[in-house]
Amino acid sequence: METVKLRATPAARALARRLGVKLTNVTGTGYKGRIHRDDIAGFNYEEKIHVSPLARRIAEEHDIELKGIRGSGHNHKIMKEDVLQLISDPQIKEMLTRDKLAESTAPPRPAAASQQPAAPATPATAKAATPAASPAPAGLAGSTETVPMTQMRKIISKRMMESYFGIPSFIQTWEVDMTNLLALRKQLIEPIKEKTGKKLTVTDLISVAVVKTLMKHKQINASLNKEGTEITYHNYVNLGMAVGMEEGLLVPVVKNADRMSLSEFVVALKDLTERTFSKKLLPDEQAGSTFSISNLGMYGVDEFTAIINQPNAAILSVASTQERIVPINGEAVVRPIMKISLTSDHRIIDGLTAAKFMTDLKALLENPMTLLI
Amino acid sequence: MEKETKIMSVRDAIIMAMSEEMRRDENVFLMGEDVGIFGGDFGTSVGMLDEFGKERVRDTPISENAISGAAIGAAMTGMRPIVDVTFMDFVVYMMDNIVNQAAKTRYMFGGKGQIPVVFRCAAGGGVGSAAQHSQSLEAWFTHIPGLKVVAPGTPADVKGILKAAVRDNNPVIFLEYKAQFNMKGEVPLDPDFVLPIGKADIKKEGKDVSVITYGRMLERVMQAAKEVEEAEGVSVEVVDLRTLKPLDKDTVLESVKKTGKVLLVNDAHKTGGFIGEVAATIAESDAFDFLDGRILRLAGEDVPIPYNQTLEAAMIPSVERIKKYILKLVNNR
Amino acid sequence: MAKTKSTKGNLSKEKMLHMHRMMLDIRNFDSKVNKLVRKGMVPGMTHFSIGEEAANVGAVAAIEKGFDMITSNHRGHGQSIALEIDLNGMMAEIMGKATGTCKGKGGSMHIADLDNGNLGANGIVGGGMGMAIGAALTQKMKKTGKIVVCFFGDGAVNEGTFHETLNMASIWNLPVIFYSINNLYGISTPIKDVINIDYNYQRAASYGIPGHFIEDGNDLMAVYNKFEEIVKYVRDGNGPVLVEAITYRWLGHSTSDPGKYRTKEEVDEWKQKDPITRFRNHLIENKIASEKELDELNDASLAAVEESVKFALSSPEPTLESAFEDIYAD
Repeated sequence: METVKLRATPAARALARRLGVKLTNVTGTGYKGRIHRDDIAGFNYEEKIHVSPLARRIAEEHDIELKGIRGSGHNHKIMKEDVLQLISDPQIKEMLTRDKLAESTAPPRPAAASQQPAAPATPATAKAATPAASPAPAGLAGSTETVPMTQMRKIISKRMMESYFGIPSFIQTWEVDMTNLLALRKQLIEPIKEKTGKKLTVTDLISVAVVKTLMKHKQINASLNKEGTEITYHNYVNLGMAVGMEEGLLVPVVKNADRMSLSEFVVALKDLTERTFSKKLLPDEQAGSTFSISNLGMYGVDEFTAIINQPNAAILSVASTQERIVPINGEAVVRPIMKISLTSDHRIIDGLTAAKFMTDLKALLENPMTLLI
Repeated sequence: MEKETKIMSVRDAIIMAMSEEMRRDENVFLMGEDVGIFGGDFGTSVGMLDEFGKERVRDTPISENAISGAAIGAAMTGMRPIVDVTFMDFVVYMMDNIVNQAAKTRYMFGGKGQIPVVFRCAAGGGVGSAAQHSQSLEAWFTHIPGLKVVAPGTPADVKGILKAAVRDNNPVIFLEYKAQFNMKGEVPLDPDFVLPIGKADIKKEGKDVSVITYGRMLERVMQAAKEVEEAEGVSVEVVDLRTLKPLDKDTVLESVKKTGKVLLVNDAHKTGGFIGEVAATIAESDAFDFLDGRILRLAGEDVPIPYNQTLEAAMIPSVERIKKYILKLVNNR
Repeated sequence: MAKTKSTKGNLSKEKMLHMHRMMLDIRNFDSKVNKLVRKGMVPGMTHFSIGEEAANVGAVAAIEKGFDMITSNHRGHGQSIALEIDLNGMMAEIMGKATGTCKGKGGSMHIADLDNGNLGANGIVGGGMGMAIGAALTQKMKKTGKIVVCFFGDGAVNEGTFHETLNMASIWNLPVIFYSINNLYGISTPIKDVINIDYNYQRAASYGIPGHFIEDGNDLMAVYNKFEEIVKYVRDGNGPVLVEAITYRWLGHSTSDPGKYRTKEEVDEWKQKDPITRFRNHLIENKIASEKELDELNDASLAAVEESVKFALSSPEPTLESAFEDIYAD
């Protein structure tokens, strides 16, 4: 409940309460900063665009994307005149018009850009394309289809470039014998189901192992500021879990994962994932990670390298578990083997640090009973 | 049932309504100053003396107290009088009979007896008649239990509601507006065309803002709604109260919940005006949670109506000011 | 249109005993209510007709009960009882009970008995005058032959409504008797201080209607005879009449009036002119009835009053819901 005295209409307050939006996070477009219903409705899914209701409506009618536009009103608020000006220039209008194609292939959603789940924090994406199928019929000689990038994709693209080109990174790949972890999982499925109603996944166990290991390797669980001048070491773990969707990648964050029991983590991750898919993720929940995991195991990928989710210091790529013949005590044995790769920011992390982390992680994953300690 | 309509003025609608009711029920009669050969101060009973005779179209001396008293006594003993108060300002002379006698008699007698009487009051300004001849006093009467108060704003509504008032078994204060006697509109010719008292009417559907009004201001509100939609694309919903007491709360609150933004408009003075009652009704209801802006009122200024025409016009809401207030709400001011 | 024949001096014994009984009822009823007020069992204000019995009964006896109509004023007990209102219902109403004539929602000042033609007492001085001419207008328009007697006091004569309604009744020839019961005082103002003419009946001339004067309003037969005359006049379609009777109220204006504006001597003097005693003597002297008969009549009256008190005391209070009923007619 709000204890700060804010100007907000009853409708705005009611909607904020329903959606769990903190009024202090919202910029009101009303008189003296009064928060109105539309301010809450818009706030959920897009960057805070400072725009008057009339201007917003005109923009919607013409499918104009307003992100990044600075208006002529107070505090750069976008006013009706600004939008009309933008529309009047055909080149500008074209540039700002939303991607109609994305609407036709994506699951049905309103034309308003407010529904595009572009994260205010930096999303990361695997170099391998997201599972979204390309809409253009490639391969047909002579026929191509050129589509402008969606806003979301533009942002992802921008961040990718920054990360890829901005960070001197290196990769270490390790193999993990998953026999014990898979067995443990089998044992725990029922009890966890009974306790939480949720299904325990391999990802859950891997994540919990990662969290535990991170608490012992603070250089890995660190953040570097944009200028690269300050390192922040966290004594908690906010775990970013990359979730691939048709429109792009989102990285919901499990806050304070270090304080969670396995059951609690299972519930938290399940909830976040569900809400990511149903587009009910709050901006709060996409920011503040200290470390991220990208898991493409379910897609059968042998190995891959994820790109660091800034401002994290590193990201873990989890590939698929495959049966392979490995030598154990001189004998050829079939074991489930999973490859994991750590992409690290060389400005903070050196090879040895990374290796030590991965050694500990591998040991924990191969002997997961020690998670109980 | 005839479905024909005809374009006619408010004045003609009044004559038609009264004449139809007097033909239908011999107990209905009209009394007031100059209603007979003169045809009424505003021409609202022209031709009726010829049709109904001087017993039923009854000229009176200038005795508002006796007029209202006689009407009430007649109503109590089986007649159904219509009193032409003429200028609403003169109803003040009738207050004891309306407030202390008519409104309360049935209640004080424990449900025995009824007083079916209509007081037709020519309200509002806009005709250069200055302070003592330009008042809209409906708010006073809404305060008195036992009275009904109606204020239709189109010729068709005038006919339908006046007939309903005559057929109602309670004392009804009926507002007609001096500045609108010439206003024309489609009016059903069916002698059984009666509109319900106590039901508001959505004159125009919309989704951005609800403008709630009645009587003389309805015309201006409709004009403003049309202009603001064409110019700014604002979708205005116009709620015409038609009856002030008993108030149709359901229609009002439904509209408020739909749009979240409310502007109330009347020509009577702002302080103590009836739209204040509607505003309070909205604020205390569960529609409160859907309000996305302040509840705004646009009313006549708190001044006696001045004689000078420009001054007078500035003292009551104009189309321009109604538009301005609509945009204020829509822009979250 | 019914025409009444003058029965001057030819009243039946039955009728005279009836009138006497009515006066006894008024006296006994109001005396009882007075006692109950002192015991704190009656809320609000009540106005007593004690001392004015003849002025009331004589008039009401001259009209046709259930046919003609009356309007009453705040001092309406005398008129209501004279019109034979149900005493039980009246007592219950005065005590505010649900079984009262007005369901406990009107009280002493708004007692009505529509079935008997009593269009109601009124809390506003002169408030019934408009209603009276309206009721008379209906009778004229519908040609029913009924007349209306409008009761008011000496104070109402100075209200604007007196002027307006007499004028209107006159120009429209309405069948209404405007009856001013002059008990010489408003609340505390003596009549001589508030008018500059001798008596109010003289005002009739201003409206072109006849003005009648009953100098001794405590003489029942004088009141009755005069009223017989004017009832015939009005019923014959001659238009309205103003009539004034002089009488006196024994008690204060209302229950909360100690009566400092009158001298004890004056009150005692008027008590000597007790209308009931005088009529009783008249009946006995003219051998119309015996003392025994009259005593029995009084006993019966007292019993009826006691009965009404019992009835009222044992009646229920109105429900909370009833406060929200009867605001509108359907």
